[in-house]
Amino acid sequence: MLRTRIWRRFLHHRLALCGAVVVALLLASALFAPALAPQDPTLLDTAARFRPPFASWSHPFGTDELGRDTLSRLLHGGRVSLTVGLVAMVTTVLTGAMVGILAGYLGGVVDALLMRFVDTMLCFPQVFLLLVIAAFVPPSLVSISLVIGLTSWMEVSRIVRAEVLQIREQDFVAAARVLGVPPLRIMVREVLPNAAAPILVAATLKVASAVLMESYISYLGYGVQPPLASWGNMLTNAQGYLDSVPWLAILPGAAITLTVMGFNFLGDGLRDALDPRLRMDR
Amino acid sequence: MTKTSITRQGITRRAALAAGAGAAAGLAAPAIRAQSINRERVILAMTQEPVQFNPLLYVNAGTENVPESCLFDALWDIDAAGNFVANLAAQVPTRQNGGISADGLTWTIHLKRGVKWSDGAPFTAKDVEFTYQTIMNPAVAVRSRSGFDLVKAFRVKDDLAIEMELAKPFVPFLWAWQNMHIVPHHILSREASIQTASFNSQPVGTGPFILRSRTAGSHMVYERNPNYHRGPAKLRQFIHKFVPDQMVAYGQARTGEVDYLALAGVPNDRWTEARAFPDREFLVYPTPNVQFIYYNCGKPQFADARVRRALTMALEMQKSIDDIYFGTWPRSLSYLQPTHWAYNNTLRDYTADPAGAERLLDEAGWRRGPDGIRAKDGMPLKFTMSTTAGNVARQGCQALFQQNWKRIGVEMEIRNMPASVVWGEYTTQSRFDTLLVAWDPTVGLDPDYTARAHSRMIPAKHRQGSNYVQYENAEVDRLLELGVTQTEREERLRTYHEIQRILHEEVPFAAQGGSVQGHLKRRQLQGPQPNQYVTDITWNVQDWSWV
Repeated sequence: MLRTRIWRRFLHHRLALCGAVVVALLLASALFAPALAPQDPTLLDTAARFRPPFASWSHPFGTDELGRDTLSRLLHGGRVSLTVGLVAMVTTVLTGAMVGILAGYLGGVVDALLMRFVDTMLCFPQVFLLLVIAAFVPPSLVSISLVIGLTSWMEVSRIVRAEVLQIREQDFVAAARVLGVPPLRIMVREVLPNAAAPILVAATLKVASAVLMESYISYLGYGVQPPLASWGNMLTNAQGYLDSVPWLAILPGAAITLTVMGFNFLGDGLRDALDPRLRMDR
Repeated sequence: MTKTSITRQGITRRAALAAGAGAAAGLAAPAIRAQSINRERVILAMTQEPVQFNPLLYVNAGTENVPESCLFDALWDIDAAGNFVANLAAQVPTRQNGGISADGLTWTIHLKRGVKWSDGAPFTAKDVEFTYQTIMNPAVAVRSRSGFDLVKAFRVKDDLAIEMELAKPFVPFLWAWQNMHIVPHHILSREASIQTASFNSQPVGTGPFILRSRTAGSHMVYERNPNYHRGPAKLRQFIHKFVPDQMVAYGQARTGEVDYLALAGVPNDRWTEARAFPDREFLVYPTPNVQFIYYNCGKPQFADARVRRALTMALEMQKSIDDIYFGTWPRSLSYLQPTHWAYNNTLRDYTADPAGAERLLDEAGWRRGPDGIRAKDGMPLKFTMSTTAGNVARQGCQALFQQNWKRIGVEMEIRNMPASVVWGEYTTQSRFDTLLVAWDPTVGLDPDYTARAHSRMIPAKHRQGSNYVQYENAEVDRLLELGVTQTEREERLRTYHEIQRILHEEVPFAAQGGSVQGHLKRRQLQGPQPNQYVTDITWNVQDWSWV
């Protein structure tokens, strides 16, 4: 069976497995944050601020400049950051892949129009585009994620289009066309699975950049409002204490790094497992 | 990373790693080095860069005050004790010396003889007249016209004397002129548009220095003006350097790469450390700004003074200063810094009293509902608080206030925005619920507060002024009108004490503390003197020198 073969190939990919475990753990910790967090992440206790990590049981990861428990903030911040990351990623990939396949497969006028639109979107620096849109959309978690997604799909569509241009010319696509398979079906059933590899890689990278994007726009005032934590704004707040209290930056930084690496390895593994051109190996 | 990690043998591995990590993170190595001093010049570092050098047009006070005080002169200066000292004027006009007429309406000013612009042209009454005309020119976006708009007639009596007739007595008129440095008639009068004149980037003044070169984004070099009318400055060269990141700037002040760190200065959490550096001197600079919570009296929740008072009572104001500003700010109970001559020292701090706040809210009819939130006539006591997004310290204050209010059944939601949005119409058209904001008095450092507290100064209603809280009180109006006509300090003191007392009772804005900066300079640099009556440390730059 094809499915078991994919699964087996994935399981043989050590790093991918690690990635999957890390991502699963992060998602679980975010999901159960209220149960896992030792205390309310917005509770101030300035008498106990700047506590170092691993020094006491009440604050396992220490406390920040206002005495808020870092572990609780990381867990709750993870909910915000992962939601933004995932929703933005899905939006990016759906939009980007759709535009890319349409442009690449149909070619001609459709291609020209879509790609000029992509060029236009790329002309604007993303942060400005984000701010303009964010000024009109009332800030909420979902709207931030959608806004990030809708301003960062252009690279994906370019990559997908390039891939599709090449796939389109291959014999199996020509065969499907000759057999009279309708274009939409060819795009979804024949072209899309073969373009999955770059899409997956782009998707995993987008999770990472969306987490960082959220911190930019929060910093500029259109993202998550204080005192709600996100990994991005924890990192921003830690900026002034980089040399005196470095763990305030290291911990959210490590969380972001873990997420990014987890998703990247996962994406690598998925690509190798799913790529039809690799099916003949072994 | 400590200063001991650099040993006599050289730099240890740990220090090298730390320095590498620090450099990578945008920090400078923190070691204090006894670098040799270039006695010919001083390097002053700030996080911001001046772009407008015309003293009538700049908007970014603090940093654009540096070219102003290096290149230009006002009719009179203000010293650290709050006294006016003649500069381009031969003497400061008073009733005693006949400069101000008995009715307070006619002001005669005699100018100093022998003053020259840096291009050699003589300074005359024409320049003062031209400065006045430019300030009142509707085509020029000057910083402020307050005071000047009261001038009914302006007469040049001779080359060195002018006479002004005011529509009504206005004592802060001295401040108005102190605020506006004199610009050259012989250069600017030839310009079609002062707004876009090349003068604004290549200025000519009467000041102690001449602008030699400017490297945008990096630094500006000033050379001593050998013909300065108060005697040439003691330094040959003055360099104004821009280091956008506060931590990097602080690092450079520690290593001696810069001689003076001003403006944002030493981060609040490093004051103790900075005070202990050998060869460095730490100076506390009180800014004209006091930070407030602004209650929009036009919103139904805040119409009742008892509610505003109760909300303020519940706040841990002193704690917010101690914990978030690391105790560096003085607590203020009025719109003035507590060290200002007109500050009312008899006010009592009633904050940090949640029990009293609850009693007062009960009395005013705001009772706890089933969800724990207080409400009256179906309206819950919920509101937003806004300030510039990304200001970490203010966000800390907001988090504390939110917690204070939650305890007494009041829900505050933080809604921060970019500076250009929150301080735009959202503020000026009084659309906010509450703001966390720092502001200065409006006519120099005169205690006059008409623009921010008089009922005719509500821009949402009267299209003028800056009474954004929409506060209306007839007695305060009367006192504000009286205060600007009183010439004796004792009388004014009584008036402004009373105004501060009423504002403290009715709380249209709740003062938190006076904003202060921590400056760091080399110990051998003499002359810089904190002066709360001007916006910037370079006010007496002509007196700076090395010992």
